[in-house]
Amino acid sequence: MIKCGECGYENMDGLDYCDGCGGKLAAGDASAAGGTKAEAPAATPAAETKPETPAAEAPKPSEAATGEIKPEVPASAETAWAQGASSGQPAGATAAFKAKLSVVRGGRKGQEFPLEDGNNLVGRWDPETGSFPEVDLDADDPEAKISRKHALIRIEGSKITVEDIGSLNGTYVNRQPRLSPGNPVEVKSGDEIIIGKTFLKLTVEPIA
Amino acid sequence: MAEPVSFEALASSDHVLSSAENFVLYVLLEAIARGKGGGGRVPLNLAVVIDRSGSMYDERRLEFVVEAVKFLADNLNAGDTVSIVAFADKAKVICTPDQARDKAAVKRAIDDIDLLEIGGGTQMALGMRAAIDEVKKNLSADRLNRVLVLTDGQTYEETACIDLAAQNREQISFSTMGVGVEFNEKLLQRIAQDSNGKYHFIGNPAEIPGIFEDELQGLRAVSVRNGRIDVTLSQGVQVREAFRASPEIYVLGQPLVGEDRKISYEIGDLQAGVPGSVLLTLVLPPRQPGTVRILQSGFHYDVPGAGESQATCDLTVEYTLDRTLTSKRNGRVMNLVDQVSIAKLQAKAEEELKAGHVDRATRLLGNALQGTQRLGNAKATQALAGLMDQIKKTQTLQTKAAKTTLLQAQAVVRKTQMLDPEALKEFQKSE
Repeated sequence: MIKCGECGYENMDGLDYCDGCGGKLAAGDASAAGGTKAEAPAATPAAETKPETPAAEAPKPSEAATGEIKPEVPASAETAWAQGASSGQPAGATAAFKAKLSVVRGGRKGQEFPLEDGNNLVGRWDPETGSFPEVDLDADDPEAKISRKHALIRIEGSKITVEDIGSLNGTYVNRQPRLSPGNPVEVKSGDEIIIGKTFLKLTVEPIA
Repeated sequence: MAEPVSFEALASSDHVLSSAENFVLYVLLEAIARGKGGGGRVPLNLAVVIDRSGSMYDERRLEFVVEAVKFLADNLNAGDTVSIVAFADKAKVICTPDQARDKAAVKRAIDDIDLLEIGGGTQMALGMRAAIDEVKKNLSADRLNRVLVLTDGQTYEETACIDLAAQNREQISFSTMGVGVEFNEKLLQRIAQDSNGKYHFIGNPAEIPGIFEDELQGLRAVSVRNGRIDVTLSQGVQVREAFRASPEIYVLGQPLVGEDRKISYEIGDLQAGVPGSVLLTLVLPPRQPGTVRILQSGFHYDVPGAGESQATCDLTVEYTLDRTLTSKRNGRVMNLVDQVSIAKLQAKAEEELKAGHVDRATRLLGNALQGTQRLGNAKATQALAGLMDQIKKTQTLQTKAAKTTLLQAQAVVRKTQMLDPEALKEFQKSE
């Protein structure tokens, strides 16, 4: 039996939440019934209701979803996009340049996103739909005009393309007509790419 | 990759305490379809059912519906079909699948939705029935047959709606969208989960086109169909609770476990990369130390164009006297146990509130809130905190703003948060 430290209810071994009050039970520790308090300070929930409050416990990896502690764009080219799209480049064949997108209007001006070889998903971080884009514009999208999976930027050798993948509000290159979904177009350094209502600039620099 | 699906049975712990008492173990049965998805290989057979009651003119709701339907029309492929139905006191098919081959015709039809003389009430069952008839014109096992139902009001004949979804669930799934606070969310949730569709709460009508986009992207990503998880429990093992754990969280009824100790869970179509899972809380009988198989499971599914297939998985645990072993938990399973528990707490708080027990409701929500903070789910934390504030302020949630926070909180904790690739790797490393 695990006795709940909060309400005293006696729960079956193996349970993680009290059947009485729903409080978190000290995991698997049947003997230390009194020790649950330390982990669940249920007496003061009201003071901590602000969404900004970081979790009091040791941060778990999934905390990345808070929108504030997002991991940087993964540095490894083997990082496959959530949908299982494959990296375009064979391992080891790194390009002789580095490419990045920077926000020029409609978001955090100056914010930069380095681009990797292969596919770079542009969109909004959303664990509900499993959207974990390399270029996460969640914080650069005040009007919510960007789709979770909005566009793909693909680097293959020296060629860079952008493709709209069925977004609601569209993708535009250099103020030309809206890209038709599923058709990649080639872009080059200095081009302006509009994702929803966020304006980005592509910069390509040779590696010194 | 040879197998289009990975199927796993994972226990919250590989070790069970050997004692004279029963032991609770959580078991996650999870199927993930591989492949890229997004290819739209399976043609769509859709019907859209739009509420055109008087209240749809509030907050520009109808305008956003028009925009959403136009987006849908623009993004259908050549092999897809769609029909549009409007309902109020009567239902009217404003665009048949044949007419909808011309995108301009769909747009004209939806633009004229406010000219229809169909009254101002809410007869959703009539709309659903008309949509089912349209979908049946092109009904095929090789298509994704789905009805999207959007409403903002309390309908008459709720049981007729439930029956329609249930009777057609083998062929057609229903996704439901509730706008505002006047609709019956329990009805819309029930229709969606009974037919393996999705339920969407729309607090702000400007979100309507985005929800249509989500539906469309979701359908395009389907790569495995008609999933079913079969479980055979070993002697003495009981199911205490069963939950659908992803992509949405809701309670599954108590299964009727026959003499053969078999249970089946229909989990519908799977999008590539999005897990479809069931979380069981099992009660295991006391045993001597040693290894025991507690269940056998199988995942049955169809691959479009390639026929039926099945993956199987047994689950064994080790009974032990060593408490340090039994306290070791599987991170992936516990993440879902946490998410399911939060949804349970929210639902329980709602019941307490209805019964007038404000203090108890607040306390339960406080516990749920700690959970969402621990998981780093900012959206749910915000929704639950908002709900708690409203309860403290109003005690009953009668105002529109208060009801909105309730619907928002319900909808948010219902959606499973997937682990991002980095977190998943961490958990898998320690398994």
